[in-house]
Amino acid sequence: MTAGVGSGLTRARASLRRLPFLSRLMTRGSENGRAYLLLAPTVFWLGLFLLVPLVLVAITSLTVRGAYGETVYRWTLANYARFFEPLYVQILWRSLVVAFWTTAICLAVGYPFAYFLAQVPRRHRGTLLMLVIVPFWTNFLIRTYAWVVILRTTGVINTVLQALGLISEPLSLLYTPGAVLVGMVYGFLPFMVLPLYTSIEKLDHSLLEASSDLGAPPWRTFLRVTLPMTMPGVVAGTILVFIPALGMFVVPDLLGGARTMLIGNLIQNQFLTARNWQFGSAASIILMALVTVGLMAYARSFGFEGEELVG
Amino acid sequence: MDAIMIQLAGVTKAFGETVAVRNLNLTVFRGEFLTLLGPSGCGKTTTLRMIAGFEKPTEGEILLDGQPVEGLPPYRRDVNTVFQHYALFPHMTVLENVAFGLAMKHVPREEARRRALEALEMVQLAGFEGRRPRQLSGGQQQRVAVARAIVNRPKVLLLDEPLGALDLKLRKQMQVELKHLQQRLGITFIYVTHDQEEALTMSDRIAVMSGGVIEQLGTSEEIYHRPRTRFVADFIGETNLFTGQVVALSASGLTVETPALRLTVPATPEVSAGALVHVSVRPEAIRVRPEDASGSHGALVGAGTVGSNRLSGRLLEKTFIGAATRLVVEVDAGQLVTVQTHNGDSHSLRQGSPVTLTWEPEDSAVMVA
Repeated sequence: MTAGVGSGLTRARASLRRLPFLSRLMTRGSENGRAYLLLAPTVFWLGLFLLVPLVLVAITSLTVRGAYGETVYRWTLANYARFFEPLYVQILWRSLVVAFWTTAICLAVGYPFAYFLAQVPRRHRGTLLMLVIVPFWTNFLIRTYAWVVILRTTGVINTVLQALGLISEPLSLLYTPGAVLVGMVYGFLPFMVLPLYTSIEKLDHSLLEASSDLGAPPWRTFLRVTLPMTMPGVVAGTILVFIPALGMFVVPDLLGGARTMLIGNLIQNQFLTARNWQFGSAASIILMALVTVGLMAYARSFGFEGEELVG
Repeated sequence: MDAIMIQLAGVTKAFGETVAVRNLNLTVFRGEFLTLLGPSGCGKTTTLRMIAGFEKPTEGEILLDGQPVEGLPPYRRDVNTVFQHYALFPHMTVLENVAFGLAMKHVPREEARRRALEALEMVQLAGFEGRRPRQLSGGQQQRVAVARAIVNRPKVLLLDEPLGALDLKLRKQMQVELKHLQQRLGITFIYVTHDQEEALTMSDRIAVMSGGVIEQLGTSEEIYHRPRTRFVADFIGETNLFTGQVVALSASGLTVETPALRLTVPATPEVSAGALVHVSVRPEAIRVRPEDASGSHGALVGAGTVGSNRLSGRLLEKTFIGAATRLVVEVDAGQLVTVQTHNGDSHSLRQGSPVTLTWEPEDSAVMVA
């Protein structure tokens, strides 16, 4: 990840140099120093609201919880040890599985859609892209509640199916792992579609013609040309979906039952309900470490530098 | 060159209201180098894309080696294309690019590798197999594109302005190399270009296209020396055009009268007396000399008889263009005539001085207006 940030900075500096004013600023006297002034607001913001809380969480995770939930500054690794109890490992595993399936389904649904979007005549694309983005205008919580209305026993699906006489008893759709998956896929699909669309849209159509010309039927063209060429979009999309899906607590809270507690809910509970900040912090740090390591390995295997995330 | 490789019969392609290719009939022989030549929008690329299978003819039929190809997708046609911008796969090495077609045909890996390396050698890119396309120059990419196509030994190779992106010198070199390659492999080439010089240099036959139809089909010499339409005369090389009416016919020649001039042109079967015609005379076919005392102004000497054409005029412009000198002469009727001479021949001529232009009737071509 540091490698990605580093090369990102190099690129940013290179593109800043193209502006005459800034290039003078950057090459004159105390050289690059002044250009970094431009980074100051970002550094300040991230420092105050990301780095400081992160350090606090790290410190908290190493302390002992007092009888009333207060922090006792005695160093211990007990909070971390506790996480490796079967119950919590199971929650973590379940979270990974749900995040994996969310990502996989988003990819399976999002890729064809993004491909379609990239083929549609330009004048219609704006409208369709808009439709992808429109849901963001409504609060995510409200959109998730909408699924409750759709899935519950007296909900839209059951009512319609019963009215049609296809079922006699309402199906229990809500508070199941399936419901969680549906809600997650619904919520994260745009994050998969947008980078995929950007990637596919950039694909040079003549490459597909060349592949066909050289004897490749459509599915081989897809595997040998389209997919490898749009891999940056796939990587970006899976990262943008997998990570938030792993930490998601709203959807399992509203659509999942007690049996579908995920790591996001666990952390939320430790902080808000159980008032065990120490254990919540340890769980957070473990989750973060896991994501960071996994992400680096994943990104490195695709030579991914992060620019794809912003299209 | 007797067997027919490709036959287009009454092929029309319309994109909505626009007709790109209109009722095209064309026969290409085995081992032939045929060029589709024309300005952009003349339908030449559309024709090529229909043969490749990227476009479906609105009407008509295409036969490849005697078999109709209708309904066959590009990947089932035994033709390969060299694309205008090469369309090399950026995520593959040069070798992977070249071996792609073989892999699609399930040629064993080792054999595919051997044949791909062979093809690279043929285009003088041995040693480049491990590179990525973006690490190559334009000319090298072009060669990879050619190797990637010929490695499959297609029945027909389609080339869509393959040299368009190269600089002049490299283009000339590649023209020669492509022609040699074609002769060596004996593959039928259909070559699309808007560059008439390229077409004249490389082709066995040229189909000059304009507005979706073939204006003329013939060898380079035929196209150049005996253009059949005004468009062809104008598009190929540089020419002087005179428009007039046929006033006399004889076995050995025609007499054409323009409002101010009288010209003798070779006999042409399809032209009858009274017809309105264009006469084309190439700049290099015209001889120039200082006005001689005997010359009568403007009108043809010995009008009505068959002999050299002779015009009087005034030298307006003289431009040294390297191997030759270009002259622009205003003949008495006010028409401008371009002449190209050897540098020595025009040495004594001064701007504004009176000159006499002469050319033989057989150096001109006549076409019905």
